[in-house]
Amino acid sequence: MWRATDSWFELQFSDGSQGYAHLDANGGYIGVYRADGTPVGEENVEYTCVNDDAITPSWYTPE
Amino acid sequence: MPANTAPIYSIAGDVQSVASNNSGLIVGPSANTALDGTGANIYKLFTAGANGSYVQKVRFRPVGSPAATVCRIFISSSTTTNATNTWLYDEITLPAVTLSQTAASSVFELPINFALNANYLLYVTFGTSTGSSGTGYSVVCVGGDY
Repeated sequence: MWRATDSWFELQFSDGSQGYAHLDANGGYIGVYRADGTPVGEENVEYTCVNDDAITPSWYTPE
Repeated sequence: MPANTAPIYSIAGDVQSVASNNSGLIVGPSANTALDGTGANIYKLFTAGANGSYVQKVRFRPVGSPAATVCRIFISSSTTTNATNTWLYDEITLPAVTLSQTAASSVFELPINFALNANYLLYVTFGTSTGSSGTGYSVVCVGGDY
């Protein structure tokens, strides 16, 4: 097991903006999001994880 | 008549890595989703010799507990990568790995097994971030120069 529960990465995109990645308990990606919760689509993006133990963003509502 | 009917062999081993070409970098924290070799976070893995190089394989060894990602291997004719001179060659799935101090972590290999043109380069990108700085993969390329 990678981690006990799902987790969040805090990201910094190459344009300087912030974002998040949501990962499941197996370390697989659920999604990558802009800071306001907008999902990143098929466009080319570059980003770096600046915190791999981030708190759950306020806009996130579990389904 | 063929110009060369005799097999040739590399004259000297040439093992390079992303770390050796990028100041000790562990690949992983920075992602690049482009498929055309454009953008940042694309890292030089190998530079062929002046007479070309035979590249046997690329080996991926987890460092820490990286999240899942895909590694993309690009061939480039230039140290300034763009969509014209840099070409996506292959991909390999890299699963999430949990570090253990009592058991070896999984290692992953991508066979290459062809001769690279003189001075051509191999680059790598990761499609997602594997975690914070220092968490990712040591990427090593095994080959030989002609």
